[in-house]
Amino acid sequence: MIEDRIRRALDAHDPGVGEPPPWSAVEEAAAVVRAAHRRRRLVVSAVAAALVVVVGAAAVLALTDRDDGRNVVTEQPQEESTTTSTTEAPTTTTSPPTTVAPFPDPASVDGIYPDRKAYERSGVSAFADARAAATAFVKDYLGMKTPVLREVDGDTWTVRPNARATLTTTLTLARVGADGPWTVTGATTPGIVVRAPVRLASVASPLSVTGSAWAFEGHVDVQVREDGMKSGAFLGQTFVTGGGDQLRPFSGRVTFRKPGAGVAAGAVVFVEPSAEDGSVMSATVVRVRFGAPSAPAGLNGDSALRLDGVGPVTFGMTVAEAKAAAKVDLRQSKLPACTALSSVGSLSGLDLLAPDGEPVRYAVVKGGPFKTEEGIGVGSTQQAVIDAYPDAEVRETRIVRLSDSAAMVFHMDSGKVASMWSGPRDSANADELCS
Amino acid sequence: MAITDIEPLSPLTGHEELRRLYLDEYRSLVKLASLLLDDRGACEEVVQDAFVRTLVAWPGLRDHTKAPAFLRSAVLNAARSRMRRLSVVRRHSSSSGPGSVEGADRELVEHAVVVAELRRLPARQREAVALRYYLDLSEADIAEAMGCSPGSVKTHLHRALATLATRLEEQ
Repeated sequence: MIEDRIRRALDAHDPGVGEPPPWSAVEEAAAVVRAAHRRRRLVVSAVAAALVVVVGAAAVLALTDRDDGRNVVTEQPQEESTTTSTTEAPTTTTSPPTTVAPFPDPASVDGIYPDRKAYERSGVSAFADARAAATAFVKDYLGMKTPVLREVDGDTWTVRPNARATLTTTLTLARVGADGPWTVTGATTPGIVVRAPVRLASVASPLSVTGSAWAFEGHVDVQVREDGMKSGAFLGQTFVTGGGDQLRPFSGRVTFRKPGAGVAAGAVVFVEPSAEDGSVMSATVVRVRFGAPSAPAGLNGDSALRLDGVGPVTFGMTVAEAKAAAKVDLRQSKLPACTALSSVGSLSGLDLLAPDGEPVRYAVVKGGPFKTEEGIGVGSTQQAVIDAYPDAEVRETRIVRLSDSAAMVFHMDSGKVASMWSGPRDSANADELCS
Repeated sequence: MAITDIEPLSPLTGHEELRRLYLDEYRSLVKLASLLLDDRGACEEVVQDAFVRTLVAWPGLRDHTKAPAFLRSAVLNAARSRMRRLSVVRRHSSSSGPGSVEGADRELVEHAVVVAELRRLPARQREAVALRYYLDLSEADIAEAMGCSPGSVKTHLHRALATLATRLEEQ
């Protein structure tokens, strides 16, 4: 049985470990790390102090934490509001508006949370000011236990996961109606930059997520939630790996179950968890709508080479279907064992290959604007490929990225990508396609 | 004694307990790292680094009884980070295959093949298998160490076993 075989092999595995180095070596290394942390904190404090001086004649630190039972520290804005509007009530009012529509729907402004359920549960007056809505979002939706909020301006707030943390997430808020309650419409953190899905994209499972991240060990958790779901609930989840030392690209695919009947929208939540206890440190949250992905554009310069196709063309399409999906002229020619569809003009450089009697199985990029979803194209360096695909296999003249059924092959010449293709997994070892 | 059997640490004697943990569990953790990386020097550095991180984080650790779990996570994270930096060539070079134990008996060859195939798995699958079949952790503990949900652990294990079964059958 495979499990017993693995167990026996792992038990028998002997890496030949010697004596541990003396404990004092660990203590000395820890002292060095602590000193580095102290230096970093000093620099951060100095920068913060300078900022306070610059903006700060008016910066009076009077903590006005409104005790609504949420135990949130709220920092005073660093600049006084200079609103000169004479026609609207000030947005910083703390008293609930006297008239609000009963249970207005935050979905009407593409709000993520507080959502309609929260309005119904707590009453709209509970979210009559932006701070209360921001607080509900970071505590109930993101799951931060001791968040520290700061107002940037009326509809923009920042949050740190605790008083010691320097990581910030910026929240964008909107009112539902002129005098209605507040809701959060999006959140971004500089360490998680999401390229796809874009805000208000129409998404379906499986959903491709791409972007760049700089997080502890590069790890970012990804969840798809429908409206009404709070921290801990999700339709589907995965994780992606970006950079641990700088912003590096990530990509992944999250499958999720069908949203509840009548739920048309939700959000994709990207979270950097704490290395210490897994709690939420920072997050980027993208509002999305559920449904069929919007009609794909034809083949264009942004069409990415993927393991399962390129741009609008997916492997398994017939030659005729591929031509129809591309929506641009493709030159058809006959190779010894394949039919080839070649892009022309400013898009030239891409060949789609359909082995005789089969649908399109390969996409070959020899030039032109085509890149992978992680931005790798002809001319990219070997290091860039390895950074984009840490699990790829580096062979003599090629770098091979494998999934269970597919392969993407980068042919290297003088340390750079000379050409690349994707196709079935068994093509990873092929010297030539369609020969 | 495996790291899973360790008594929870008393906060009062934390540093001393961590030192004892270091002496007792250093080898076990290096072996865990060696199932993920094939460079012994790197494995030793990864484990030492994990203890350094734990010692630095000690005052901020809310629950000191979780030190063993924290250590496991630190080893996994450091190994993962190391894998990204190390040349992938070495990981997949034929030297890690059965050829390196040429002349050894059949059982040793078979074990080496399994470990070599384990190292070819994607990083998260490799971690799940090592934690499950070397440390005998439960799915919940594996999820905690890997920072993911028990459902994800199940998926990683399922895929890893399917891949290993296929590849080992081909050998």
